Amino acid sequence: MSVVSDRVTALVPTRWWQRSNEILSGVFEDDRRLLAVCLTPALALYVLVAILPMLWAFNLSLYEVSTLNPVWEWTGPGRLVDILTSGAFQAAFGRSLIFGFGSVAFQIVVGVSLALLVNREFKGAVLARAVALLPYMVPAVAIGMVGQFMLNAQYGIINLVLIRVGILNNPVAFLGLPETAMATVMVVGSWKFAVFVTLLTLARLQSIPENFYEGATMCGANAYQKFRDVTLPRIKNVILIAALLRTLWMFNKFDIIYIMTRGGPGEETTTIPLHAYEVAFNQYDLGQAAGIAALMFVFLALWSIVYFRVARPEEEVRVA
Amino acid sequence: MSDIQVDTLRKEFSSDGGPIVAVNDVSFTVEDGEFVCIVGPSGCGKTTLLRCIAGLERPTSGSITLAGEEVTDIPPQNRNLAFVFQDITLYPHMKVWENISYPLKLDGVDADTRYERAQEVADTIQIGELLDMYPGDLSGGQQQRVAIGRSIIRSPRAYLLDEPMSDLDAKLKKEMRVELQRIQQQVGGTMVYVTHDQEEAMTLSDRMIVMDDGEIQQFGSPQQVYHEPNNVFVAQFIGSPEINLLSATCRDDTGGTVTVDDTGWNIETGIASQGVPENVTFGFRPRHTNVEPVEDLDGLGGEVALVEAVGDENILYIDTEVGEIRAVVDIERTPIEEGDTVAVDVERSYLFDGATGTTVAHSTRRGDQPDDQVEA
Repeated sequence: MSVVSDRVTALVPTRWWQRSNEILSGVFEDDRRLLAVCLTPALALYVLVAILPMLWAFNLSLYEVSTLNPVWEWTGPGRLVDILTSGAFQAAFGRSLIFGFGSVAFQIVVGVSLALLVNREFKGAVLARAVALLPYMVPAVAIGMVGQFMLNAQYGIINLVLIRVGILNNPVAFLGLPETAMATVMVVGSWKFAVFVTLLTLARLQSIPENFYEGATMCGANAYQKFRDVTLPRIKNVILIAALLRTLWMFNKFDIIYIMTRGGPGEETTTIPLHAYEVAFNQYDLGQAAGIAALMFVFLALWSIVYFRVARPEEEVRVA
Repeated sequence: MSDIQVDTLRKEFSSDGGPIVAVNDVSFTVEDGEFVCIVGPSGCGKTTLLRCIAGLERPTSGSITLAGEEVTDIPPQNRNLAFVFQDITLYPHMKVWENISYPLKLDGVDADTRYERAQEVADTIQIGELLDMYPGDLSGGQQQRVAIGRSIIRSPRAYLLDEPMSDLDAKLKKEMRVELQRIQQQVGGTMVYVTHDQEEAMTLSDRMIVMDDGEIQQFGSPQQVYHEPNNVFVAQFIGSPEINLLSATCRDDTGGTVTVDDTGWNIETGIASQGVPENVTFGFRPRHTNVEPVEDLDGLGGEVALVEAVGDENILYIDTEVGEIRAVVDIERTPIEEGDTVAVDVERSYLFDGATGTTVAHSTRRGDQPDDQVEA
């Protein structure tokens, strides 16, 4: 200990030290008190930033509320039925399904492949791992903006390359055409999050002992059989968890789509979150927007429950 | 089943300080159906040698031949060898029967047949009732049995075992040793077994390879290795308690009498050889001694510092002018206590070249019977 800290300690009365020690050890020995002490801050924060706004939004969805008018007008739960039956909501929901599941499929395939690739031992493997994880640090806004630039029909590098190589004859406005807009947003919006899957999978891959592979080799297994019998059982659950999380997050994705297409062309890329945004801030109908959000929440909650029941990702694979 | 021929096999590992030679131009042949142990201290290259035979390591040079077929460049999965690892590599997500029959799964055998075959093998190794459990639910000994089961299910050309029992406790080790010999007799087959435990090697082997520093020091039956060691290293490594070694001078080149350095002790070795160098290491095993309590010591001997009782034997640690000497005595015939002064009479002697350590001569004197039991 340094001289300074010695002095500080000397200033504090011994009794006080002893008392605080007694209190602390009391807390650590009593499981229930320890639980309370550890949980309370997190729980308080969670209630404040998640539960209360959620309840507030549910409540809001039962009123007619204009962005510009402070008076709330009661409409009742019939509002939710109206939303569910509206064509715009149903169309947006369908696009959300396509965007959500399409993106996640892309992320899982790319993410797991990347993890398997950088998990191999080669010169510069550590650097390769670091580089592979880099996109996760790039903000969605930057990805959206850069994506727009690169995909631009007049000066975008992607069109340029595709034409030079001979795949395209004429430039294509990927984000401007109804046929390509959704797929393009999915790909651009996903490559960053594929890295999330890589991150989880790689951690699990690195925990597989090398002798498992050697054992399989001596049993006569080829590379594919080793993947099927040693690797896959070990990473299956982490992939299931990653898929669930990514589905939830991609369903709620707003930023990247809004930046690149604003939901266009037409309504081609207007998913539920963009639809809700439009209702709230273009049609000034906060009540209905809150209703859309509430329905979205209910749907995702149901989806999670079903997913856990069917896929059982929480069931740990036996490792010993 | 097949024989294994290893010819001038060399394995180097690269390191910052230049290549490290793990296996240094080693040649030997394991006969068909033979049980050979490779024994040596840690880092002597024994595991590397085994992994080269398996194909898990690529030799730097030399060749490996299985039943007349050169396999040096054949990948391990195509050599049809079974390998039992030190850290038991069972698959935790597969049940015992799936683990045992995993090699058959790779051959595309259907599940019903695999279960039946696994049952047969499990009965052989006496774990028939564990088939539907997971490896995590088994004890260490049971897990190692499963690993052995997996290695015998496909009738491989040979079994390679890399210290399979080093993680088991002493009692289990003894049981498994007997078990392994029984299994080998039942399934037949060439076995190469790596261990650092000389006792294990002595009890299991038909012949054993003693390795040190990447080279074979001796290849022979446990009897040969114990009674006719090639050099000081083998003499020291094999046998427990360890052989006594004293530097000595030999006045005539027959080796009949040696004088222990720094003392006036002249010891009759009973050796009648030729060309024994002057500078020798005189060796005798603790079991090849007669120990008598004496009043006045005149010659090899000293004060008993420690008596270690091992069953009906005592191991004596005797402080002498030239350091500690170990002797094994019968408890009932020779009651000796700590603090006694004893004279040690050597029944059988070894002479090693003082400079190179090579064996130059050993006696065949008193107590040397052809059926002399190997005490490990």
